[in-house]
Amino acid sequence: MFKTFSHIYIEENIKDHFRTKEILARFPNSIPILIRHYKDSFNRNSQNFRIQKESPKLILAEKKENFLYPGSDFSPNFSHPHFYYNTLALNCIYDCEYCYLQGMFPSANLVLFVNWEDFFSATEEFIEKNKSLYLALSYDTDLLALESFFPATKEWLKFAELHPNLSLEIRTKSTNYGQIAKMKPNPNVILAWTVSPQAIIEKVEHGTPSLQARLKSINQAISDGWKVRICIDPILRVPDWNTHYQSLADILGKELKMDGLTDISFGGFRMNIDFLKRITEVRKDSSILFHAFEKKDKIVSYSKLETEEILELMSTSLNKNFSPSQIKVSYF
Amino acid sequence: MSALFFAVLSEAKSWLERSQAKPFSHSGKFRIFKNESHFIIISGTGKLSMALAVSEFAHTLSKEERNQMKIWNLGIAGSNNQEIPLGDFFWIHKITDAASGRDFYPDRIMGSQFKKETNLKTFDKPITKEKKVDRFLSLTEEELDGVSLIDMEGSGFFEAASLYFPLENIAVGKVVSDHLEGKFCQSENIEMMMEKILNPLYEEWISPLPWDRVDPFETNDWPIVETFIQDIRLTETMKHDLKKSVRFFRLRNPDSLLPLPETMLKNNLKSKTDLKQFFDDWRKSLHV
Repeated sequence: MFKTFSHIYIEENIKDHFRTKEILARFPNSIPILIRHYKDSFNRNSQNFRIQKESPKLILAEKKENFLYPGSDFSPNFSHPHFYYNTLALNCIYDCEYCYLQGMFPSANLVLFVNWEDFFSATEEFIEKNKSLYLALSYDTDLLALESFFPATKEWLKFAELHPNLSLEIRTKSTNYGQIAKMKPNPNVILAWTVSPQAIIEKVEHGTPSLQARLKSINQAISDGWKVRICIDPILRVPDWNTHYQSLADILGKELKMDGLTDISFGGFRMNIDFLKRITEVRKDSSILFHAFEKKDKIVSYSKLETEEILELMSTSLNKNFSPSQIKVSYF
Repeated sequence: MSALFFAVLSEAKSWLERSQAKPFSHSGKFRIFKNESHFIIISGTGKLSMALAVSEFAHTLSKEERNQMKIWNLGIAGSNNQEIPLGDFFWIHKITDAASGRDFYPDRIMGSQFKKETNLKTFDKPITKEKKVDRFLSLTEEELDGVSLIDMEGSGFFEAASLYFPLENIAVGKVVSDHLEGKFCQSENIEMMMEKILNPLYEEWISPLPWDRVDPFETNDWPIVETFIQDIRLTETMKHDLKKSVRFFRLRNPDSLLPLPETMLKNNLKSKTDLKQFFDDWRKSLHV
């Protein structure tokens, strides 16, 4: 198999874009292939997500429309009236077994949009018209994980400094905090880390940093003055799940610096039924995907009883170490 | 299993000798050769012939066989770049069909001893950079800008193959045979060029796809369950759900015996309600 990013597909119209050149310079051994439109490659029929994931390619493209999307019902909006997300990148460098992207996208290749300025303009227009915006920046990807070759997070943090009515949430599993550590903390930005018990990270969240490494980044960010959100999401009913998640709550209580912690949210596994169907057609080695889920309104999730057990366990465990006002339920 | 498509016999000759493939009896028009588990197909010149040959071959196989098959097109191509020596071999990562303007992108997932890659443009006529050569289409440098290799089959092969075979299983490779001087290649030269790449490429061609793995669930567990349920009337939806539950059990309990309900319970099913209860209880036992 070729290594990751052995080939880079480049839309012809952005082949001379300065950001394209910067990214290409990071991968001098990759083979560049000119394409007309990223969808010609990314949206082809009959691609096998699992096989491509073994040797993912980069696709550099220009986003021409839809610079802001309304937030999904599956995601918490944290009570903000204008909850939107954008897609500076499509797909993720990690390989979590529960990830909905496997069912949403036809390809495992990573699309990076280089025309950030158009995203900035659209965001400015929105804020001018609506006076505020809560923007999830790392939605169909893990943006901070790409920072070493696609430094979009840094640029958005600079952009947010100039737009006080813009609130950003940057969600990640990465330990790339060092890439943005020198920036001035912004009270309108929440750095949100998804965490899981170490046993689940090892078995299910392939390629992601360990819990300890994530905690180190989190504590550094809190010390530096950033608002930090902890997301235990999705909670998975693996064998001994209750012991694992109880233990995770204890570890978080003991090891996290509480002062800067904005909130800690948790949510159970849920997925669009069509996405799950597509995923299980090609990923047959993950027991978490073959759980006897309940189906409701095109969504699969744990049964009412299982959900109540999760809620009870997490509420009890987290209440030992966090104040009730810090604990949020993101989706059940 | 692997299948290899050539346009003409001179391209295929050394491969036929090496593989000892013999004519494969079938009702179609194209010449198909086969040894124990590999096929060599000769389509004739041009993208239409190639596409028809791919289609005809695909119809000799089941969908399961097609999904596990490595499918290649090898052959000669002209090069627009004078600096590329004759005999150089390139894997193709982009194919443009000159007539339709459509682009195709063969995925390069597997590495190879042959490291070079480039683009290919497929024309309906032989191409030359010289002016007014009989039976050739003359193109200017401007018209050939950005084009690396030129052939007459690549787009037809890829477009047809991608209808029947998984994209990841398809590859196209070309040997540079000329620099568009407007002369047809001699058979002996083609045979010699193809023979030069034969030894290193043959092993790659016959080696199985690394993602072609047997699913032990399909070969071990599910046949047992299918036998067990053959005399009870489960709906297709019930079978589908049961299969997921059995897989869940196996993934969670790789070394345990599969829990099957007692045969007596199965024999006592009298109504749809009984069946539903039996089915639900069984699934529950698989999700413990």
